[in-house]
Amino acid sequence: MSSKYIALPKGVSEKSFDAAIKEYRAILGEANVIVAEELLVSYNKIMIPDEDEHHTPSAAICPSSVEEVQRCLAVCNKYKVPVWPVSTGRNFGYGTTAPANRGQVVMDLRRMNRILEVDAELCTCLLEPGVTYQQLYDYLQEHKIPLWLSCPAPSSIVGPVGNALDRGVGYTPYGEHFLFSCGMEVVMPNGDILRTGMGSLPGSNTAQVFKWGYGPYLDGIFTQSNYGVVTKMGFWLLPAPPAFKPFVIRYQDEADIVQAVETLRPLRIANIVPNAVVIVHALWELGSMLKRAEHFDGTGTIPDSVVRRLVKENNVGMWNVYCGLYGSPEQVEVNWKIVQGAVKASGKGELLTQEQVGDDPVFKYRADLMQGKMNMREMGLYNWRGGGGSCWFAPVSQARGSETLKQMAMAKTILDKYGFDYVAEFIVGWRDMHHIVDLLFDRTDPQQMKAAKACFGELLEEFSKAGYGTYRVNTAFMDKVADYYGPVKRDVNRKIKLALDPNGIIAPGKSGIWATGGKVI
Amino acid sequence: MTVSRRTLLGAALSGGAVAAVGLPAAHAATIGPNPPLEAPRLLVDPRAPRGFLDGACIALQTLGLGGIAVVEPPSDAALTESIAWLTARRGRRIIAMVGDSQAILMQQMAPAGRVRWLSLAQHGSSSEAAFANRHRVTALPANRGLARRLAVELAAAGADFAVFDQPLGGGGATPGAAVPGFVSHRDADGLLHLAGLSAAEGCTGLDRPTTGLAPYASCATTAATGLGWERALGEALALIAADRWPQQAAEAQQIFAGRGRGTAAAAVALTSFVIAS
Ligand SMILES: Cc1cc2nc3c(=O)[nH]c(=O)nc-3n(C[C@H](O)[C@H](O)[C@H](O)COP(=O)(O)OP(=O)(O)OC[C@H]3O[C@@H](n4cnc5c(N)ncnc54)[C@H](O)[C@@H]3O)c2cc1C
Repeated sequence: MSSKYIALPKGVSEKSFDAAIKEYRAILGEANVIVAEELLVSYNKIMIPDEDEHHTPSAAICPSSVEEVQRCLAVCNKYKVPVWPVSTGRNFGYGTTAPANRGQVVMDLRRMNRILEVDAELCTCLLEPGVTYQQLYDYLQEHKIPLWLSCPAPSSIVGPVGNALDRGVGYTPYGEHFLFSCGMEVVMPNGDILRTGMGSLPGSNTAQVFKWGYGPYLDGIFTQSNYGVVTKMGFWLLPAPPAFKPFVIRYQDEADIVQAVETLRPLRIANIVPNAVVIVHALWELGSMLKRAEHFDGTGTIPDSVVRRLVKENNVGMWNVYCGLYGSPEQVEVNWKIVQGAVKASGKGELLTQEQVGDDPVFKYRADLMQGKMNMREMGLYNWRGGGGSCWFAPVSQARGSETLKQMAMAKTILDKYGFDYVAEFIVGWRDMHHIVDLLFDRTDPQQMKAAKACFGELLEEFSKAGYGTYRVNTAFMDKVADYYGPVKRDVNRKIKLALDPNGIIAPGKSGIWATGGKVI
Repeated sequence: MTVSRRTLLGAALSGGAVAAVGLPAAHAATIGPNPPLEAPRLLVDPRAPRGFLDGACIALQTLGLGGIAVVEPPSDAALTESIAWLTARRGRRIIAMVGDSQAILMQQMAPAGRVRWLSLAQHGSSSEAAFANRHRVTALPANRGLARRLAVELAAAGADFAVFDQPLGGGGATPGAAVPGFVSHRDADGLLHLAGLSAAEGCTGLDRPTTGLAPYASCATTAATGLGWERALGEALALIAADRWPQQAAEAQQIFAGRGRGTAAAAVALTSFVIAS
């Protein structure tokens, strides 16, 4: 190897990097500055269809306090070393912990993992970035606090701060996670500490209850961005409802997505079904428990006929809509009648309760997630195709049946062209849907790697042309997606970046935002 | 932790194969009891090739390391418990050959910066890919040479295979050694070693350009043991876990490919690794 480091930050000499590492060590201690190859493996598992070495970090630094973050950023500015901050660092299918660009130093905030406050009356909490959902869940259980959290499917090992900062989603009534955050503490690139909303006011006790503060609302600019390192974040928690009734509606044909959405939307907008409902395609439903090769040994996309056979054999729907009712037993009863009426009136769909499905493990994991309980079963998707390749294609759609049908058809046509399966779900917001397609591929096969990259590019291209933007994207495609959102937005983002972080030390390239170098428009 | 089969090493493997099969001569001399290390834990998915477990168990036994093999698709609880076991004391090792989702979970549960990755590789077989039998090895300080060993065994068995040896970070300028039995080529990305197929065929199968390929001379010897890649891998991971794998210099990226019998047994995707506290 020509350098003692496995990678170097772009434009930083080995000598400067030596000096920076020495200073990080003085701040954080030897053990919290990681440069050894056998330790950095943990930071380089990308899974996306890109070469690992494009995302190899030069080092990882692990501060344990706000002051250490500030001091590390000062070193970054001094040597122009870029850092890639992560909270729990499990952004699977979006690049995991690895930086967007080779040589960036991962700033791993997992050691900052204190639950600073849980207010059982106001139903709020204040967390450090390293707190996992499991930790928060255990805390609430141990202290017998009757509050529910909302988590994404990888639940126990990921965390509220990282998830909300990337604008992730969960499955409870608080499933749009950033919407239910309130107040941030941010270390700015120059080391200043900004508290957003009411938090700016010394002595304020309303930072976790009133979002907007005074003047421009800033929290949004610290999500999916690189304008600062978030070191604390407030969230609203859901009071545990006295009654919870999970149910599934199964539809037998792919085209039934139209009825599913048309039936659900009015119930969702009216908050009769208050949670982030998920409409799961059969291959996602089955993919979390089966292995593709055991059911299909042909080449290319799994044929619809095989999917239909698997649907029958495994007693699932072609679409499976998971919803919950929350409230007092009386409210749940009334709402259940409304749901039954709506499904009946639609003329399609089989409505099943927990009692009716028995101990169906997929229903259980969905029911767990709808209550903010930890359940990792969905990770089984990685065994569907095998080979460790996964990236999420996540376009936003209107919550309209015709739109979802159109998006499904577009996605299937493109996936089919490259031999990949439609492993997908729609997560229903009030008026929008996140159409989530897991492009699963085998990273041991160079042809599949290449096909996956081309397929993902074409999905982005065709959907963008049709006016459908993605809500989030992996680190290999950030510039491309930024381009689709247009030059003005890109330019404004860059101007903010230049004003706040002229040296471009925080996550250059995140969401296609660069201060210097990279792709400048 | 519930286990479907918990085997004390040395007992009842392959109907008493322990006594019958010794370690390859190349390694036998370097092996002896290794008291400072605790017996590693083995996590092995039932879909893993039988030879893998045999290879690992026999090697560990020869090294004087008893141990426990957990043979089942490890549950989340088993993974969590195994990581807790690993990190409870220094000097512990886990050798695993598990499904991809379990491997990803283990990787995430293992505390970053505290757990050392001694080896990591993905193993895939299917008839739909250009090579039926595929291995993607992350070359790390402790497992350098593993890809070559696998390739040599696969070539000796006449398999249809591709082995990717990918140093973390992309590797340095030092070219790797050529391998007897393979015709070696070099380009800007590293080395390409081919057995039973031309440069053009290799490049097509591997989806890389033929331009810039130059012949590369053979200079090293890695003899096949004839044990089969599965057993060789098990043995190699045991040696790596016991710090008995020969240390080797860092090399550039390399790919080994062989066009043999297109026999992909049942399509399977597994990840192997060795982690240490
Ligand atoms: C099977 C499966 C199912 C999934 N289901 C879901 C799902 O239901 N919903 C969902 O949203 N996701 C899902 N994911 C994707 C992903 O794993 C989660 O979103 C996860 O929560 C993100 O990882 P994290 O929480 O560790 O965040 P991190 O990786 O820590 O953070 C994500 C990103 O936010 C930025 N960031 C993080 N912390 C900071 C900080 N302190 N300051 C500034 N920037 C920061 C960084 O750019 C970082 O890359 C799923 C993944 C898998 C494999």
